[in-house]
Amino acid sequence: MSEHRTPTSDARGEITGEKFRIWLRPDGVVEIAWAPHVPSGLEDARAVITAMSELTGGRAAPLLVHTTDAGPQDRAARMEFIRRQEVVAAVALVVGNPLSRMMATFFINVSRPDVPIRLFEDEVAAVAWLRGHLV
Amino acid sequence: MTTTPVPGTDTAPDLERRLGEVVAVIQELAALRFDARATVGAAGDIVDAVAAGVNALGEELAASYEEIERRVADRTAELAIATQELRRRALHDDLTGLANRTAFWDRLAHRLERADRRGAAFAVLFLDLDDFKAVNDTLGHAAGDQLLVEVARRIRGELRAGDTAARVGGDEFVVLLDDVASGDVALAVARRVGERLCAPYELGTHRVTTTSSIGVAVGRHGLQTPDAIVAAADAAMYDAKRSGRGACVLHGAGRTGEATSVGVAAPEASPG
Repeated sequence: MSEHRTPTSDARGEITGEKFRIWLRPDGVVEIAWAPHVPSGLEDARAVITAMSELTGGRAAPLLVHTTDAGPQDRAARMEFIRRQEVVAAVALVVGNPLSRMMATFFINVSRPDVPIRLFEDEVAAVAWLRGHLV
Repeated sequence: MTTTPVPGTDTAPDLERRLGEVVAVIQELAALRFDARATVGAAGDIVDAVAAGVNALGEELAASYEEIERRVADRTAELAIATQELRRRALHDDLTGLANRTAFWDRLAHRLERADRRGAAFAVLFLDLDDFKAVNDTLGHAAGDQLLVEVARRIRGELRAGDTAARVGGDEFVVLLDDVASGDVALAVARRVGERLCAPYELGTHRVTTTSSIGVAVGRHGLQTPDAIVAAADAAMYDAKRSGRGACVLHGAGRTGEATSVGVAAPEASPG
């Protein structure tokens, strides 16, 4: 397990972790961007979940994930997102290259979360879909 | 470890090298070496996708394998417990926990086989309660069962570690004394058991006394089979019954035996 920096938050409702940046949009959708090309694991997943809960006050919210430049994510991280899926109302995975498409497809079809989840190539379409899942 | 090719610019040798690494990882996974991982580069191209996919499949394979091994271990443990329970039920009397007929005959046969190699003799006691039917008819089956459980406990309490007690019928018990010096010693044990069984039993709110008739047969006196030895002890038990309540009889030549009455003078079954 690697050393992890404590995520920092700012007044605009944005939290920056060692490998991610996550923020709450005005429309109620939470958005996350992973650091480019960096593999992520269990501690990263936990940090994201904690940050998201902090942003939403623990309420389930729609989540927009930019995966295009993300590095590979290990099984422990994927399973932690499944275990704590109560923090999200729906997930839109925006993909842009073969690697991100493969990882997103793997998460949807193999890890199989119970919450609504879809893969998008277009961010606008992803946000439109997520707005239908605002709690 | 990390390569940073620009998508679409791989030369044929580069592509072959990257794919070769993925193939090598697949072969490792096929050999159940689940920690093998392919390099996933920063380009995020199709080869990186294949490498990441193989890595992810390897992780799932390892998790499934661990889960299967855990389930096999769990089922094996459950099977061992079930087998042990089946064996216990197959060889024990459910009510009293003593050995049953099958287990007793096995142990007696085994003792007979060893008889030639051992100098010491062995003996079988055949024991029948004199008043069981009266208790059962007067106080009911539950009280009868309770009496049998207590009788079994008392018999067990009078035996040594190598001896075996079994319940072979409603109120019939047999005992294998594994090592006795003589018929007289076996008879003394029978007498001691009989005396112990004479003591009052508390069955719910009722106090009951009962005697038992005990036949004794010593091994290595022309009795070559378990059936023959038990039959001899059974016959001696019937001689004891004919001699009066609470008697012990040693099976002997001419079946005259030796009838001795145990301590209590023919107590009556006195339910309540």
